[in-house]
Amino acid sequence: MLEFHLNELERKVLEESRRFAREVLRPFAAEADRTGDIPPALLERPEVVNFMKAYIPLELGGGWRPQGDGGEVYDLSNSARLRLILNEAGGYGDASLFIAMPGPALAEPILRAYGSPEQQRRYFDTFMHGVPKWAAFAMSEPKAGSDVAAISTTARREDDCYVLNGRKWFIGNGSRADWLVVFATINADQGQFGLRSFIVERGTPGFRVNRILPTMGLKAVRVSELVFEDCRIPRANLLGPEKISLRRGGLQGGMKTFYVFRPAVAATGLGVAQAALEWLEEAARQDGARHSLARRWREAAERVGALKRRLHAARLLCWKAAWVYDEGRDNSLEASMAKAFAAQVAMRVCTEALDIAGRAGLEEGSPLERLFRDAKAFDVLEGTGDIQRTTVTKSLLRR
Amino acid sequence: MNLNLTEQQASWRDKAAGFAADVLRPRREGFETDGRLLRDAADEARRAGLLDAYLPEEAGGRGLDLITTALVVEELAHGEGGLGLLLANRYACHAAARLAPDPAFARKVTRALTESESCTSSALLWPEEDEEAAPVERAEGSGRQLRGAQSLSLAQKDTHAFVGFSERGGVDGSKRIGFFVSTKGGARLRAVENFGLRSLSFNQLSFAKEVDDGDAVFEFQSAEEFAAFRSRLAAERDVLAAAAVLGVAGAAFDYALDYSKERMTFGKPINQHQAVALKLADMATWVESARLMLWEAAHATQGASDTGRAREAWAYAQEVAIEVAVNAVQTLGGHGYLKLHPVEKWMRDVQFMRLLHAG
Repeated sequence: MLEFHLNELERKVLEESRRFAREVLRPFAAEADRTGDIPPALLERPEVVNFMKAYIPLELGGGWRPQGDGGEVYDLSNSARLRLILNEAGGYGDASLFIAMPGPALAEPILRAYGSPEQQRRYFDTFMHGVPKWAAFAMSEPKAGSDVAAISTTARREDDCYVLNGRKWFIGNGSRADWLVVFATINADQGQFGLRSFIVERGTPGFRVNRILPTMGLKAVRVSELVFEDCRIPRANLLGPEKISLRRGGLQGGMKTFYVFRPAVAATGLGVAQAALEWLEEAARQDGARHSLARRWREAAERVGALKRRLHAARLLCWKAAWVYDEGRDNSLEASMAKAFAAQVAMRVCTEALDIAGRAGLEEGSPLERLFRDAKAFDVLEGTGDIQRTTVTKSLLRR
Repeated sequence: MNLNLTEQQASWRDKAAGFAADVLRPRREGFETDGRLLRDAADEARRAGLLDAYLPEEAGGRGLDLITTALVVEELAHGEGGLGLLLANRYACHAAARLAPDPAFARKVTRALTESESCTSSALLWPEEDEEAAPVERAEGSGRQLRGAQSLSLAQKDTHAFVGFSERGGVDGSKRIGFFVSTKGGARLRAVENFGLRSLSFNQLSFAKEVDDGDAVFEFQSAEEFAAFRSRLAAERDVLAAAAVLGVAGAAFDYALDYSKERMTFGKPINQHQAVALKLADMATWVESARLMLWEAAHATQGASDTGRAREAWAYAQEVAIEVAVNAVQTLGGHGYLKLHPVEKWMRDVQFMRLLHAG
């Protein structure tokens, strides 16, 4: 039976997520954008340490305790919808800081999907000691972004080790990570079926952070270029089976990660757009005659109405994609629709919000130009909009 | 969130989809040139139980709710927009009876609306832009006159029941708002040339008659009562208009997608060219997002929790529908401009539906 209301758990998570966004992330947003890093004062907040475990299952010591150790604990690990709620709020607070938060990030679902119980215990333990720690997901390369089957980093088997050689690119939190999930091919002739994922710990000889890549937005994420040169890792660091299966190649693990994350990533972009619209509305309400912002806001009522409708439509697509995932069904079509559309909407909302604000959008204290720069990232990261739309068309043609 | 339809909803949707596939689509080419075809199809839809299913069981229907009716309207409109719109109009007329707080008035409306089996037996006179209520009812001589006009109406020669808001002028100059049903003539029609939805004919309607025994007027007791009634009726009307326009947009998309599999250029199907592939993805995404918004609005309206969602759902659906219809023509290129394919018809239909519902 159709139902569009949030249940009680979802409402509670929404309330806590918004509080986290407003009180913890947003006050540090401008500083993070200016310095391109996470402000040290933010990392000292207990909410940030608590956040590290948010997506890790309860049985592995995880769970989100927004009110601290004595407060309620929420298990977000098995609910794409709860992730979505927290992610939209994260974008609403500050997308850059939210993505830069300590924790396993994109490495979490793949470790859960393919890691042995021992691997899961060992690597999730990183986040259990009250000290900010990061993990990262290293898939993209300079010439293999959306086309992950073109990954050229190799993993050569030598005795009880794998030897990694290659270069990873655009890796969020890559320079901070204590460990990374790295995708590499064990047999380049087999394309995507030759791909496997490996855990590489910081400090492993042959692994280095080459540089932080300069970006126009999401600066605190510090996307990095990583280099692997004869980087020897134990065979035990392989995630999942070594034997090639045409049905479940190594790449499939990576794709599964995207399916649970895509609606949430899309929703993060919508949070950015929501923040832009709310700031504009509030600024117009408080505006004096100097910039005539109140008048511009009134004159743009129809435009704003259309933007709000698109925002809502995109939010429903994200929710549907998360719901299909939670139902245990393949959500690749819905997730791609949501990601492609939400990113377009986020960009459009932020662009038009800046248009409507005019020069007021450039004044000190206005987040609009930052939101405008941040919003574009969502049409680029975790699969570009064009790739998502290609996936949509392929799915439709297969029906 | 739960997006699973109930068994009953899925069953009615599938039934309507089957009717569209078996009865409507094979006649697609004739609908624009032979006005009888849609009437025949409407009669078949009634016999199949689709046209009157929203009526309460005591009035011969199956008591379908708004959500289920929206599903049926979308599927019928996918087959032929005109039939979806006819059902939406009939539902809206009956919704007035269901929502009326006066049971005697409601019974009279239901009786008037079910007297005839013609698919155009009833017409809703909806206030035009900037009007609160129309026509106007005034004391004249010893009786009362009901007068008004509608620039674009589905009313036909055989339409015998008119329902709508009326502004009731008192002898002391006071104004009250009523809701009327009128069954005994008084309507004058002048044909309007319609560039879209040509399976139906439209008329300019003028209405002038003395209020008599065949009429009934329910007078709202307060501005709040009027506002609640009107917003709920408007919301139900918006939901079904959105369903109808999305049905046509869905048909345009499906046709464009199928065409893209067969049409070869530069040695491959056109859907293998990114310019076309990405457009198709956008069209599918727009329709899906608008459908979700429609379902949410239907759910909120039916539960009376938020009638404002319906206005938003209509506004978004009509934006999406014209984008999809225009892009469907574009997908077919020059072929899309020819009447040899239905996409140009759907583009005209969608634009006409937007004008019709905008008031």
